[in-house]
Amino acid sequence: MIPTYLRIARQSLEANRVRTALTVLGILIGVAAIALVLSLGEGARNTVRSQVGKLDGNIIVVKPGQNGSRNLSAYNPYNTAITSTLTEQDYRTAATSPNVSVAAPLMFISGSVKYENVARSGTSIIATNEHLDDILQLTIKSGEFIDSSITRDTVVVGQQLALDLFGTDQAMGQSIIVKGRPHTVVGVVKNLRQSINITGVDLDRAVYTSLDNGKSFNQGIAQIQQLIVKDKSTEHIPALADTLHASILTNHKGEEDFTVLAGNDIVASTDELFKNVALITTIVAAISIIVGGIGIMNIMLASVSERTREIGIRKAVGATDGHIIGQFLIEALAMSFAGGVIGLIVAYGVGYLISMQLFFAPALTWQIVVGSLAIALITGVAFGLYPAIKAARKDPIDALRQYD
Amino acid sequence: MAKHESKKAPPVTLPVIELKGLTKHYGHDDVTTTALNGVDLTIEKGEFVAIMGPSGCGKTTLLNILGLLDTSSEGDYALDGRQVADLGHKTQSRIRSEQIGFIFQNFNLISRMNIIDNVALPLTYRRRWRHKNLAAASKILKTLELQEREYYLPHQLSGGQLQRVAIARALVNEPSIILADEPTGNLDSKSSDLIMNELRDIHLRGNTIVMVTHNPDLTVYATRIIHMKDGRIATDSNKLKAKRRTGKKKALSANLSKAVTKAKEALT
Repeated sequence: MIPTYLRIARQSLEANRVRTALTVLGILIGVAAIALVLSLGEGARNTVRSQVGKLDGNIIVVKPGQNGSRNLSAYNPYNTAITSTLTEQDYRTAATSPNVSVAAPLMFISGSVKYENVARSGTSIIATNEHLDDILQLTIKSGEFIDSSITRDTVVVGQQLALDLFGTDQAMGQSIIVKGRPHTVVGVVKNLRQSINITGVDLDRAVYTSLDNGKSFNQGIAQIQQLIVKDKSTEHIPALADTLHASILTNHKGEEDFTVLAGNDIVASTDELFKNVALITTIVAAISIIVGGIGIMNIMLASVSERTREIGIRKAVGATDGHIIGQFLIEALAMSFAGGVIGLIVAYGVGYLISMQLFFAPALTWQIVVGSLAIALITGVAFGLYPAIKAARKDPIDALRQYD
Repeated sequence: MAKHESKKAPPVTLPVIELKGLTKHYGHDDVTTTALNGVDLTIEKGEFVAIMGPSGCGKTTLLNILGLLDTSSEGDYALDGRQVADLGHKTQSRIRSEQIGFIFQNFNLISRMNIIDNVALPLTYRRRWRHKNLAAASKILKTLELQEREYYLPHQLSGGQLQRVAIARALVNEPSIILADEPTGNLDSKSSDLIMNELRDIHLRGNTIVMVTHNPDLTVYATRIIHMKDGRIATDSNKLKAKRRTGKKKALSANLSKAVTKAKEALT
């Protein structure tokens, strides 16, 4: 019976090409949105994972705030402006702990970076120490990384920022205005080509300066948003995390207002963020697929009432209610399946275009493909069933009487 | 017929359709109209019944009930000895697809399907291979001289041709009963003759045909004519014949007895 239904569906869908195309478009947009959102999230997660993997797994990250505050319900829009609970004291404690190879504080400073009075947006100013390049495995393209021995008003810039500002990455000795004060560029860091990493900022467009200099922008107070600690070997990581936790807890007089993350937990925090972002965008995409489903129901209801006579004829020559339901359901499913398949192709295409702009590729995994198609088919059934049942319930006599 | 009515002898032929006190009301509460009002009718295998009567007398309603498209409000309908009221929806659908062929006045073909698909339609609901269905449809179209029109769409054919297509569809499942509702209603007399000859051929092959018509000329093809009025059977040619026959018999025997008594009187 299925081939017969498919043939009938093809006939009737072909009879109303524009209508069919518009209905398919509704589902297509929904499926494409869902698949794209999920594959972007997956791609981002893969990038972070691979980066953490590259860092040999001997990294511990200390962040202000409690562990539980990662989830979305505890999200605070002022978080970035809130005074960090991590202090220079904590940095020193971390750096001098046994088994610690090196430690770097990260102080994110908000402000503009200008060259010849033109500001670049999307630039982060990071005040840190000379160990960050070692910990994050940054490669110096020219010059050197920041060094506490050289004067305060010097900066190291990311390669992409140099290109953006000066039009060339030969930026040594150029003068730029950072937060209203002129600074000399003493080094350029080679592009990492990872817009997502454990620091949470785009390092290719970052300005690095010394912690002392960073403090000078903030009335001499260090605002450490993150401590990155490198262990001497991977074996001690859990033990070291515990030690760090205990010693910083002592610094904070027993107040548990920081989080120590090691190994997979570092990814987990970004993972959590992606999950939340993906959740919201998926809800938006889900709404669009529901709208698409309503489109299917609308068209199927119109089709049922247009074809009342056909239903009457079919019943008169022996179609059961089941046959009629099958016929109209397959029609709805054909549209939603077509929308699903084309939607996936569109998602793949758009994902490819996005991957040319970002430094990570959306990962369209088989789970996402199967899931998206399943969603499309479920939508088809959910919104096609009512019109199909309505069609089957039509009284053949009334249906045949409908003429003109 | 007369035989088993009078003496309760077993019927020679099995009745295909048996209606007892069939009644059909439309509407609700106060505004009901009665389309059929106690119809008793027995149609046997191989009969060609023409049902006549003015508009609104319940002919079409009767035909729809016979074709299991509609249900009666009261009364019994036995089809091939089975009470229709006891049959489920599915069984009724199966009977429609296997035993009954419908011919409608306005053809009722599906406009976006080509002729051969329209004809094969009753077969598609019987789980058979499509190529077999199409072969059967093609065969029946050939006997109706429409084989060149197989892949035309309905709107490309004339009224007479369309009605022949509709007949082909009604015949494709080799039904035992053919129900025709004004089969020549929309046709000119030439096409109409063609259709009626076709129906007569089908009848001669042993099929039961019940035809509703306005046109008294068509009754020459029928073996039995039923006139309906106000939802009842007004006259039935079978009963008339039977009555006439029994009337003649009575007259004959009366004459005979008169003659006998006369003869006796004469002898004495």
